[in-house]
Amino acid sequence: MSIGFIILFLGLIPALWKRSGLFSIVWLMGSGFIAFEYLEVLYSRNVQDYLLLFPDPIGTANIGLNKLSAFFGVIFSIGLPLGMLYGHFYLKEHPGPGLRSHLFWLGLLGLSMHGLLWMRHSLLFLMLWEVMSISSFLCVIQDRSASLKAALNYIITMQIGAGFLIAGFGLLYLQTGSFDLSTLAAMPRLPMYLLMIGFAFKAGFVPFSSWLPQAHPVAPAHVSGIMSAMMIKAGLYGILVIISINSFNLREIAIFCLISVVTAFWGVIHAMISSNVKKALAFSSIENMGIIGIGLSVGLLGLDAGIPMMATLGFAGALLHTFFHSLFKALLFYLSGNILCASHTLEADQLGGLAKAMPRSAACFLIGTFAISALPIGNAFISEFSIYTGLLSAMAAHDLPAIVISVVLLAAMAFIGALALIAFAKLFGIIFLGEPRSEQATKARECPRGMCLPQVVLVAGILLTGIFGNVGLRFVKPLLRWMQLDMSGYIGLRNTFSQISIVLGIVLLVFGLLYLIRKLCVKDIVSPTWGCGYHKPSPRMQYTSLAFVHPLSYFLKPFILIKKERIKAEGLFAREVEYAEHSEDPFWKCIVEPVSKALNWFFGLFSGMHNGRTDAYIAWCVGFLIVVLVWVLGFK
Amino acid sequence: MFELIKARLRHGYQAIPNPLQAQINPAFPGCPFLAADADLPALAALCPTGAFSEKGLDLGKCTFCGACQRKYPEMIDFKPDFRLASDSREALYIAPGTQYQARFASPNTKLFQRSFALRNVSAGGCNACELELGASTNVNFDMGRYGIEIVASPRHADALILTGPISRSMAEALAETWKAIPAPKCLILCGCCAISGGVFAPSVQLDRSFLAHWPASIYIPGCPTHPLSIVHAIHSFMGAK
Amino acid sequence: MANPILIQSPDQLEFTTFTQKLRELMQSGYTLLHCFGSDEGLMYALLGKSGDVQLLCSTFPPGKEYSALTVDFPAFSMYERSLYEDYGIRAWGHPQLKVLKAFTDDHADHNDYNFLASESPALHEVGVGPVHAGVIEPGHFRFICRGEIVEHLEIKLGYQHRGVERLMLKGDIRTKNCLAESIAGDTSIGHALAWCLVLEGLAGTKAAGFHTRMIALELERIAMHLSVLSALSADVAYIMGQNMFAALRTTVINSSLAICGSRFGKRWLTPGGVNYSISKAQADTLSKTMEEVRIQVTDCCEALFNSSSVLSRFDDTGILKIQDALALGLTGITAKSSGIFTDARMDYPLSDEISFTALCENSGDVWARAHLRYREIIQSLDLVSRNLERLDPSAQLCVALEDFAPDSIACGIVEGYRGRIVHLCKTDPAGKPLWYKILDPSFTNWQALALVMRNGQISDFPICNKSFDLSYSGSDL
Repeated sequence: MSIGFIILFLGLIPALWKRSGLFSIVWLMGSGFIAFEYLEVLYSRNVQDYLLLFPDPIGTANIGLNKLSAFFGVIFSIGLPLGMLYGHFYLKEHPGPGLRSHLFWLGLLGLSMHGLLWMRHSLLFLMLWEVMSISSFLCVIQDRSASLKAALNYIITMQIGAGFLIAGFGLLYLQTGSFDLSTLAAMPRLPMYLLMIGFAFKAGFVPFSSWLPQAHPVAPAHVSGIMSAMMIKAGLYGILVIISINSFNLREIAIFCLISVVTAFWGVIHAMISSNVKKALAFSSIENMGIIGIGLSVGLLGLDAGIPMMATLGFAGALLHTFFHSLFKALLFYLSGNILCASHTLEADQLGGLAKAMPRSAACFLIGTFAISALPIGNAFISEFSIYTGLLSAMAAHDLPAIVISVVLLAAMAFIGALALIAFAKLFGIIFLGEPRSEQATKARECPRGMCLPQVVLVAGILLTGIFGNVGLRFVKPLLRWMQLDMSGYIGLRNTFSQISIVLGIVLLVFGLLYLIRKLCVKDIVSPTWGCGYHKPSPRMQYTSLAFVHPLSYFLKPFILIKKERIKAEGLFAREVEYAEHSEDPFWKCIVEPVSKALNWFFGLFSGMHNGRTDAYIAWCVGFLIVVLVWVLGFK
Repeated sequence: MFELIKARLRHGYQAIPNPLQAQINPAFPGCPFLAADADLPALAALCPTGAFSEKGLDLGKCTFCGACQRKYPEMIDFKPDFRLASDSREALYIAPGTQYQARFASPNTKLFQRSFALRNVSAGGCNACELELGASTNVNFDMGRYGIEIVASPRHADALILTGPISRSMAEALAETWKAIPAPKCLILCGCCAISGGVFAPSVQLDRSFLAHWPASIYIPGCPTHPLSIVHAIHSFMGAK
Repeated sequence: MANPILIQSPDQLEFTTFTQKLRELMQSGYTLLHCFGSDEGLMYALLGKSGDVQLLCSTFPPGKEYSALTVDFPAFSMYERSLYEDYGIRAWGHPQLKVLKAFTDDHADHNDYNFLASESPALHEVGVGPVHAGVIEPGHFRFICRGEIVEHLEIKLGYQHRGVERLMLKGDIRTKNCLAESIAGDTSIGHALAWCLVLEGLAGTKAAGFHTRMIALELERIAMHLSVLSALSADVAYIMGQNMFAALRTTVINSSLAICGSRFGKRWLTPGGVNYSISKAQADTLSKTMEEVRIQVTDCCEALFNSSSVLSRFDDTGILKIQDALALGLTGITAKSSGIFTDARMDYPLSDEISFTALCENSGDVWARAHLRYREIIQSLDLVSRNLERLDPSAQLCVALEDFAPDSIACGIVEGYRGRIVHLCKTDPAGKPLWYKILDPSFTNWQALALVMRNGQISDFPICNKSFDLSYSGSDL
C-alpha cells in the first residue's frame, strides 16, 4: 500500500509546479506499484488489512483490500495513468486557465478513487467519496465560462446522492452500531435501498443520470474520459459491494432488471439522437451502465432461481463489461479530445471527412466503434456474449419467472445492441466519412503522435481482450471464485472464448491476406463520386446526424422529449427554411426545474431584505437574536 | 384480387415472340430505297433537316417525316423495315440506286455478348426517344431477354446511350456521365437528334463537341427510334448468337 | 369565339395602363394564358375567360424595372422570371427572381444557380439530376430535408433549352412540322396542332380533316395517360399494372402507327389539314381496337384502384390545394384534379360540332391525378368513337395555306394531354413571322410539384413527379 500511495502523493508536487508531463510519469510509476499490490491481492490469498485507531467518533478503522476492490483497483491503475498522460498532451494542444489547480485536483481525484477502495469504514469511505466528488467537480470546471452551470448541476446531484449514502450509513449505524462496511451482509432493507440509490447517482442509473450528458461535454477530454470510464465505476463498486454479500428476492431483482433495461434503453436512444460527440458518449456510458446492470441482474436471477450457470455467466459478463467499458469509453473520450483539438468543435454536423485528415484517430475511433457496438474483435462482444449465454442458459431451467425475465432481457439487449450500433455507425460516419461540413473541419489536421499514444495503448488493450476473450476472463476469475459461484460455467465460457479466438484469428488472417493480395494486384482507380452529372456538389448534400437516425427516431418519439425550433417553408414562394431540435431530459424538465424554480421563488420572497443598507442588516441580526433568545428561553 | 385475375386473363400474352424478326405495320417508314434517278436537289428542297446532298440521303439526318416520299413516291421509298442501325456514321449514307441495309462489322470483342448495361443520358431530347428507349424494356419488346438492361448509375453501365441533340446546358453533364462509366465502354447514339442534331442542328444552343472526342459504336436512326430498331441495333452490336 | 384567334395589330399601351388593365382583368376573373416579351421591345399578356380572349400589349417598362405583379397575382411568377432572364426586365418584389434556363445572355451558368439554402446544420440537401436514374429528361431537383421529410423543394430546369422559338423563325415557318412535333415529343400532336392552328389563323384558312385531328389528339391523350398509369404502378411496385398499362399503350400507339407511320403521331398533321387520312378499313380496325382498349383499361383500373397497397400510397400523397392551383394559374390534369373546372376543349373549342364537358377530381392528391387520368382515357375513347362516326373518308386531306395576314397576331389554344398549350405568332407588315411563342402547360405546372412535396416523404417524390408527369423539354424549349 505504502509505496504506491506515496508515489501518487508525490505526484501532487509536480502538479503544483505545473509540470504535467512529470505529473503523468509519476502517475504511471505509482500506478505500476499500486497495481502490483492489487494483482497480488487478486491472485494470491493474503489479504492485507490495516487497523487504524482514530479518535471518536471514527474509532477503529479497518483499511484493506478484498478481491472486489482489488479488481476495481486494477481497472483504476490501468485507466488513470493513461488518462493523466493523455491529459498532459491534451492540455498542451488545448491549453486552459488554472493548470496548477487543475493538475492538483486531478491528482486528488485519482488518489481519492484509489483510497476509496481501501476503506472499510463508512465514515472514511464517505469522506473520500466527497473528496472524489468535489475534486472531480473542480476538474470539470477547468474552463469556467463554459462549464460552470453544468458542473454545478453535477456537484449538486452528487451531493444529493451523498445525502442518500449518509442516510443509508447512518441508519445502518443506528441499527448495527458499527461503521464497518463488512457488516453489510444480510443488511436491513431500508438502508440498503438508500445506499443503492446513493451509488446509482454516481453510476448514472436512470433516473439519476441527468448530470452525465451535461457535465461531460463541457469537461476537458481527459477528465470526461476518467470520469466516464473510471469514476462512475466507483458507484458501481458500491453497488457490487452490496450485491456480492447480500441475497435478493425476485421482486427486487425484477426492479433492478427494470431499472437496468430502462437505463440502457434511455442511454442508447439519446446517444443515437445526440449530434454532440461527447454528449453521445456520455449517454452511451449510461447505456453501458444499464448493460452492466442487466448482467448483474442476470447473475442475481441465476442465484435466486438456482441456475448456477446463469449466475456465473451473468456476473462474469457484468464484470467483464465493467473492465472493457473502462477501456473503450476512455479511448472514445480521448478521441473526442483529438477531434476538438483538430477542429475546435464537437458537433458532428460541423464535422465530416476527418478520416482523410486524421487517419490515425479515425482508425482508433473505428476500433472503438467496434468495441462499443459489441461487434467481434471489439471487447464488448466478449462481455455481452457472456451475458447473452447467461440469459440463454435460463431457458434450460424449469423456472418460469427466470425464463420470462430472460426472454424479455434477451429482446431488450438485442434491441439496445442494434440501437448502439446505429448510434456509433452514425457518429463514425458523420464525423469521419464524407466531406467536411464546415471550414474548421476542413482545416483539421492529425494530432501529434504523443496524443495518440494512450489511445494506441487502449486500442491494443481492446483488441487483445476482444480477440482473446480469455485474457479478460482470467482477470475476473478470482472474483467469481471469491463470490463462490459455480466454476463449471466459467470453464464452458473459457472453452467458447478459445474457439472464438481461433475463428477470429482465421478470419482476420484471411481478410489480411485478401487485403494484401488486392493491394498488390489491383490498381486503385480514384474518380469523383457520381453526382447525377451535377458539377457543384456541396457538403450540405450529405446526411446529417439528424437525418441518419430520423426514420428510427420517428418511431422512438414517445420516449424522447424533443424541443423543436422550426421555420417552415410557407407560402407559394418560401424564403426561409430552418430547423433545429434538442432533446430534453424529462427528469430534468419535470422534477429538477420545477423544484429549482420553486426554491428560486421562495428565496426570492426574501430578496427585499438584501437592500444594501447596514442599519437594516443590523436590524435583521437583532431580530434574529431576539427570536433565538425567545426560542431558547421559551423551551427551557 | 378477382378483378386483377380477370384483367390479366383478358390481357393475354403481349410479348413479341422474336423482336429481331418481328413483322411491323406496312405504314412504318423504315429502311429507304433511293431511286437511281432521284432528283436530289428537288428532294433536298423538301427536306426540313437537309438530309439530302449530292451523295444521296443521310439517314443520320433524316427525321422520317415523309415529306419527300409523299411528293415523290417514285424517287424514294421507305420500306417497313426497322433494321435501321449501323455501327458507323458512313454506313448511314445512301447513294442513289441503293437500298439501305443495316451494317454491323463482326464484333471484335466478346465482352458484351451476354450482358449489356446501358445508361441513358437525355441531352436536349424531346422525350420521344426516351419514351421509346423505355418502351424497349416493356413487356412487348422486352430487350431484357437478350441481357440488355438500362441501369440507374453510370458506374454499373457498359454503354452510354445518348438521346437528344446535346444542349449546351447538358454538355458538361454528359461528359461527366461518360467519365463516370468504367472502361471498357461504348457510346450509342439513339435517334436523329443524337446522330446529327436533327431538327435542332441549326440552333446555337447546342454544344456537340463531346461527339468530336468520342466516336460512337452504334448509330440508331429514327425520329423517334422505334423500340424494335433499338433492340435490333444493340443485339446486333453485342454479336450474340 | 373561334380558335384559332386572329388579332389585327393590337394597340400598344403605356406600361402603367397595361399593368392597370392587367390587374383589372385578373380581378374580374380572367385567367392568365401567357405573358411574354418580344425582341421588338414589347410585352404581351394573353388572358382568357370562358372563350373570351384578350391580348394586351405594352412597351417595356421604363428603365426595364417595375414592381412585380407576382406579389398580387402569383400566376405571373414564372413569366416574370422569364422576362427577367430573356430581356433583363426586373420585377421588384418578386420573391424568386432567378433565371429559368441557363446559358442565355450574361447570366451565370447552372452551377452558380442561387438555390434557397438553409443555415441549419440539422437539415441536409439532396441534389438529384440532371442525369436521373431512370430514362427521363434532365432537370435538377434540390431538396432541403429533415431526415426523410422534405422541408422544401426547388426545381431547376433549363437543361433542355434548345432555342425552339428562335428556330421556328429560321427558314420557312410552314415547313417546321418536325420542329413543332419535337417541342415535346410526348405531346407531338398537341404542339403540332397548336402550331397548325396558328399558321391557319394567320392565313385565314379553314383546315380540312378536323375529325382526324381530333382522333389524333385523343389517341395521344389515351396513350400518354396509360404511360403515366404504367409508371405510377411501377413506382408503387404494382408490377401487373406497370406491364398491362404499358402493353395497352403499345396497342394504342400502334394504331397511330398504322395510320401515319409514327407511334407518336409525328408527320400526321400539317397546316391546312392532315397528311394521312383514316380509311374506312382503318376506321373499323381502330374502333374495334378502341373497344378492346376500353374493356381492358376498365378492368385494369378497377383492379388498380381497388388494390389497398396502391391506395395506401396514392391517397393523401402530394396534395395540391385548390387555392394554390388557382393562384398559380395552373392548368390541365394538375388543376383539374384539384377541383378547377377548366379544359381548353371546353373553354376554347375548335368546333361546336362535338359537345364536351371537362372532368374534375377534388382531392388534389396522387390518387386524384391517377383517377382523373383513368376517367379521361374513357372520355377520350368516347371522343374517338364519336369522331370516327363523323369521319368522312372521301374528304379532302388538306387545303393549301393562303398568305399570312400582315401585322397580326394569331393564337392557337389546344388541350394537350398535360393541359393547355398556347402558341402565338406575330407577322410583320410584309406578312413575315416576327416572333413565335410557345407555352407548354408544364412551364407553370412545375411549381405545383415543388409545393406538394413540402412535408412529404422524399420517397414519395417519384409518385408525385409521375402523377403530374410534366415535360422538361416543353418547359425549357
